[in-house]
Amino acid sequence: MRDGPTHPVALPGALTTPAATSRDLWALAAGAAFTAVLLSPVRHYFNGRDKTEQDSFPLSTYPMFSANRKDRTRVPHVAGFTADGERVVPHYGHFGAGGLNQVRKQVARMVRQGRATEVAQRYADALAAQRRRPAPRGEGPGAVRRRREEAIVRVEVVRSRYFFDTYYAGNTTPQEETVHARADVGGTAVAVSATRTDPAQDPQGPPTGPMARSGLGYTPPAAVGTGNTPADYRTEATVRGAQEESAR
Amino acid sequence: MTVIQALVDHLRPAARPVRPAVLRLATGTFSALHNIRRRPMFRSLHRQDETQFTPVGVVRVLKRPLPPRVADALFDAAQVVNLAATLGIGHRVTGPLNAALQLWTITYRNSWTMLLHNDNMMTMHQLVLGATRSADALSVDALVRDRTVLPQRFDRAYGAIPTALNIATCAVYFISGVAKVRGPLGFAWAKGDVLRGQIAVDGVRKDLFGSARTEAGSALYRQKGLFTLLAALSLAVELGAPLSLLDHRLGRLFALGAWGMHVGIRIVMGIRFTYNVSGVAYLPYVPAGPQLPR
Repeated sequence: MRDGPTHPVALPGALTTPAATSRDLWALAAGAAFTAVLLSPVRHYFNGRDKTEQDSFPLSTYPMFSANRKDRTRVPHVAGFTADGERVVPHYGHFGAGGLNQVRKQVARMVRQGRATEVAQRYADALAAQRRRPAPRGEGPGAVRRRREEAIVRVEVVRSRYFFDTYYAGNTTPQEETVHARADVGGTAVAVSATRTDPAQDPQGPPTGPMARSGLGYTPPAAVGTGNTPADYRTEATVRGAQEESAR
Repeated sequence: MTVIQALVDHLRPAARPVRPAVLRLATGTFSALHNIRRRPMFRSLHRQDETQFTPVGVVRVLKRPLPPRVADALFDAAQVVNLAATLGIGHRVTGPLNAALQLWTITYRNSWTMLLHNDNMMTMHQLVLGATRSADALSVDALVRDRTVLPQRFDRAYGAIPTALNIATCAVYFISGVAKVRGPLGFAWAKGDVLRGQIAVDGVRKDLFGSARTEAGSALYRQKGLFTLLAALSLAVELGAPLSLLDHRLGRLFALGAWGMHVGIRIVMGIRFTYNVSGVAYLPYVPAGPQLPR
């Protein structure tokens, strides 16, 4: 079919495809090997290894969209606060380049490594540096964000817990939040160990969560001091236990 | 006709060189525009805190990040070589060199704690196009060698290139599908609860990092039935991807489904799989030029 690797012979007038040659068989074998290499990350779904840890590039395990989040999440991030205590989220670009998800991963990793003060310091320094630059005018998203961030006087590195149903119903206050570090804008970061909760939210989740969906009803939290003990709560484990009991 | 002959005819049809040439031009041009637009981001990335460096893939040969100027130079060299390979200038050298440089620079970009999954397909396609005879038409090389940019010869090597690209595409989707059904819920992933949770957490994260969750994602959160439909369709597209290699009509149906899935992700989550949404990723399913009949 061809007489050289770079100058294949033309086949003017050829009406049908030529017979397979040994070259085609070698090409098929190479194609099979290529396919095997491309599919090799699949093995991590059958050998018990952590698919996220085994992820690589460009041969990826593609773990995205596969983790079961259930109805809640905990997100390490940085919250900014104005002098009035209003919460303003500083843009992820104050931490570094590479996009939101990369910054999110890096912040989470540093919080896990006990380096929350470094995160707080970087945000506080970046916000202070931004403040020294002239504020942009106009109504573009960047200018609006910048004006909002001008009011931030303190940043905190927090790990916040949210229930999706509550969040998407409009209540974006975290149900529980652990503060790992704090820094005044232009100041020095300090390590913190404090937890705050939203008393208006049930730690078991909202009535639209799995408690209600279990069919066993939803018990709203009793007011503090009126029998509000751990035993009063019907947890997912107790629901499961009750279901198993009734099935028996 | 033997099975082997049928297999060869299907996977390696005798086609004209214009077939892979169109793919080389489309992928190379897309890569050039995509990467040049991201150049400032790459340069910032090269100057990151060394403690964030977590090398993956071929970059594992490094124990610490490259000096920023070296990383910048490699990135810029990759763009220049990509331009030469795309135009088909000395492709026997620039093709493989471009493949190697693209692999290095994009892997290096993914070596900073977060592995992103939106450049995999483009990189794999560039590896295939760089390592094969994709510049025997619509190229400077063809003009110099054959005095025409559209040589009329047929060769199975040209027909095999779109097949190889489609195998790479299928592998990406198929592994993504396996990831879902090998998760805690198995095939119950198709009920949509996991997808709904993913979209929910993505919106929360966007809010908490100063971006903005999409209006569509927030509006759809309550539509549980819709998530069941979306999840079932996504799983069908992903696990059914290998079928797209069997028949050209199935291939086009898969391409349409996969493209629609990425458009949906863009609208609902605001995540840009630009190579996929642009449609360039699925061009190999619409092969250019004639092929010899069986």
